[in-house]
Amino acid sequence: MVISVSNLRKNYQVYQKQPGVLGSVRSFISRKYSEVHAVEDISFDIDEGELVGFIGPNGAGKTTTLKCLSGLLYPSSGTVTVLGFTPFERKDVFLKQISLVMGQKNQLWWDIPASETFLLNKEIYEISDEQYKKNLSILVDLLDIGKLLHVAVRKLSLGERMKMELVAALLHSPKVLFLDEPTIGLDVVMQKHVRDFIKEYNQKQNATVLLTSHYIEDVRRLAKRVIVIDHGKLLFDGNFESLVKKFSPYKIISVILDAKVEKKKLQEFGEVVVDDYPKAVIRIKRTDVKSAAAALLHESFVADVNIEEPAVEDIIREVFHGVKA
Amino acid sequence: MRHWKIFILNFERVLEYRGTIFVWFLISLFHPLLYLLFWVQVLPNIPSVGVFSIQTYYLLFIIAGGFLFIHVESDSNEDIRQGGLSAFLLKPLSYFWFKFYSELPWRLIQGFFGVISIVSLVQFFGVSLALHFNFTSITIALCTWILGYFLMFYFKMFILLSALWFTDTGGLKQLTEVIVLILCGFIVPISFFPQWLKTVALFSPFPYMIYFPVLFLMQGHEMTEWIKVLIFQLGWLCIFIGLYGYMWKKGIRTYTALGQ
Amino acid sequence: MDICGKRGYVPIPRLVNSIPLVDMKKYLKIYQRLLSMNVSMLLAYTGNFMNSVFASLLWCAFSFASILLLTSRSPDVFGWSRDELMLLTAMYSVVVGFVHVFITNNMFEMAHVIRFGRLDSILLKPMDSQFMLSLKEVNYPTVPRVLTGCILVVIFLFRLHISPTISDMGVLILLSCASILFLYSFWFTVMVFTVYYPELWNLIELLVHFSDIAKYPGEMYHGLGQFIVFLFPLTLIVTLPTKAVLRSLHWSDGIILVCFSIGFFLLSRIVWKHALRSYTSASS
Repeated sequence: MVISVSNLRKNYQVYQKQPGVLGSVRSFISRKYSEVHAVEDISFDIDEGELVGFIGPNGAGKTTTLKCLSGLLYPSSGTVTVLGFTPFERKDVFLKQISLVMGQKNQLWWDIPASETFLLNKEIYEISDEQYKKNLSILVDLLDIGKLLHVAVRKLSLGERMKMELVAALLHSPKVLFLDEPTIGLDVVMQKHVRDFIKEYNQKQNATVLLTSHYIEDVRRLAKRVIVIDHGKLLFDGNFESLVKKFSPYKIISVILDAKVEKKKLQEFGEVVVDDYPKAVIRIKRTDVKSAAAALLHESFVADVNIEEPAVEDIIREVFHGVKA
Repeated sequence: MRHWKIFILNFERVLEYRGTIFVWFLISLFHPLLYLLFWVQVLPNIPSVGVFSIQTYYLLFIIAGGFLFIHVESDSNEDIRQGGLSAFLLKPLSYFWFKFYSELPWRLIQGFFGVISIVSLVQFFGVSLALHFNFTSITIALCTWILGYFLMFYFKMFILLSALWFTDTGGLKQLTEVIVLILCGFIVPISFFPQWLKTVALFSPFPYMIYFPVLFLMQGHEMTEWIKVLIFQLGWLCIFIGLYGYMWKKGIRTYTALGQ
Repeated sequence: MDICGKRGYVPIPRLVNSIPLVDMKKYLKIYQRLLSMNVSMLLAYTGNFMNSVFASLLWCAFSFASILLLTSRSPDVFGWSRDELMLLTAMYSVVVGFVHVFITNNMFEMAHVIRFGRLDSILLKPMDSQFMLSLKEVNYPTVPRVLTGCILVVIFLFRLHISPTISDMGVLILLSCASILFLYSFWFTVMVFTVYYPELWNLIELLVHFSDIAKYPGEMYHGLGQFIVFLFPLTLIVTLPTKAVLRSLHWSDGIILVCFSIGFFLLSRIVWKHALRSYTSASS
């Protein structure tokens, strides 16, 4: 077991501003605080070499959990072990084996080429010359950034900067890698590059990777296993297929129509999501799909019927929406 | 009305930073007191050299330092180098007034603290002030303070805008800060300057930003002196307004051309 | 392994373990890298370099000019002659200039890093976070000021007909180092408060202003007594090394300064460790 979390909780004190000029003056003199439960009672285990996706909307507690795992935050209660260490002690031996990449923050020096920051990391992580050369060339090849190594960081595009950020974080070949929104703000092509790279790194180095993202696509492409949290609570832990089964008791039937019919007629089969002649989309309970499809095919106005799984995005949206309501 | 609302919003925002406000206040308190301590012991026959009261001078500098020392130039990095200016360009209020209203609450609060600390020094420590008040002098002094405020504001806006042309203005900021501190009479009152430096100072815009506003609160001045200073202030202000318009036009062209 | 019970017990990391001296070699190598990275930074903005050099030399010149100005009225002030005061000002340029070269910008950066929540990437590095925060940036443009100060110290020693012995020089250097260490530790200790109150980021401005206290002879503050107790060591940091070469130093004063600087250094470590615990258990 590389990562083990049990009954993790984390609370914050948050200052509350009062509205209006008078409120501002009042807050100037004395402030009110309220407690926020960022993470409530989360438990999970991750094995060596696993690539786990962590999803949830903004403010769900993803980053807080990652920070607890990497030792940046001290849990309010509960137990966390990573590689057999207690992250919060932040021992050098521990820190040398992990890495945390945060999409929005960077460790690169802005005005000089990234290669200089790499050299600094080499000294900080005490990487031997030989190892450094080897790791750097592997990473540079994988990410295809040979030409960019000697360009000042501020002159790089967002995607190129993210790649550099990844190199800086991986030079010491960490056994555990935490990625917080690694593809945020990147275009589709660059997202794919970064995604492929993470997958490859995970497989080649047998590194354990825990990745958060609010692009479900990221997680679906990368991770077999997903952990879903919202409002600090763990909603789901398992593989994608069972996520879909659990949270979406519906399937989608799209129908091509031969002739225009009343919406009412279609509604007899299930909930009509789209009615845009000649196409219609109907949402039907998993258990009723077979009979409904058969019945539809028997209707004279139907030309074709197609049964689909609902899009993952929709399911996730529903899950989060359902919890809020 | 719109201007008033923007001002109020900024005022509310500034009140959020009570710790920051307090530290700025300590800073504006510290240096006048240090220089005062120094000069009080150095000048023989204190507290007045001729008609000049060093004590009143530096105590008034506590208010002046709080109210008139404008710091808009420190935003140049976020606003210009990191592209924040684009957001301002899209708004229906000029960048100038945005900066003006985001700065004014700071200055008012700092000035207010300055007044409070002087009043308490007078009240509780028996410090005496050689102020000379009548209706005319107060009115003139008020005018010089307001004009001084605008002069300083324009000058600091120039520094802020210079970031449109130079990659890093850290050095320029330090340099102008030194020049302003010296020529405003902060470190040494201008009347103590050697003659040549005094001449240089009086023909520069800097004494009209802080030194004269402070001086005019202090003692009876001749009408001719008042008028001379007001004319210089207005003259510099006209030059600054023209220069600002020119710089803004040119600068925005380079800014948008670079496409940050 | 339970890292924290219900009451939130937090283990205190041992102090000595993390003092950089233990891995001297690693930290020397890191600092070497930092020095060279700062040269690269400098080369990225050369125009700015000249302005900064000029500004820092102008400050230096103005300090001397104000001493000339003030001694034009009376030959000695606070019991110091003009040349002695000039020597003091030169020493100020050296000691405070040294701190400006290696420390000041880092303290500004530290406030910035804490305020904008960028401390995380430093804490995740397998190295001493205080070291990284304190020494990351080097302000090369201030080096000319320190050198000018050094030259002026020599000139005024000549003018005062003082030829310091080896032991005088030893004491001078020892006390200067103590002063630099004190100034650094004092600043760092105060800046740690920004972890609890990030909105106090401008404390560093205040601290830089406070260092002006050292510009004037310690005698200037004698009348103030209890008012400036907490700033008392600042009145010593330049005055005492200067007195060491002027041979008017009381041994007890020198020892007080050394004790202050070591004490404050240890304090800065303790306070930082404590703040980190608070940062990691409360940050948002």
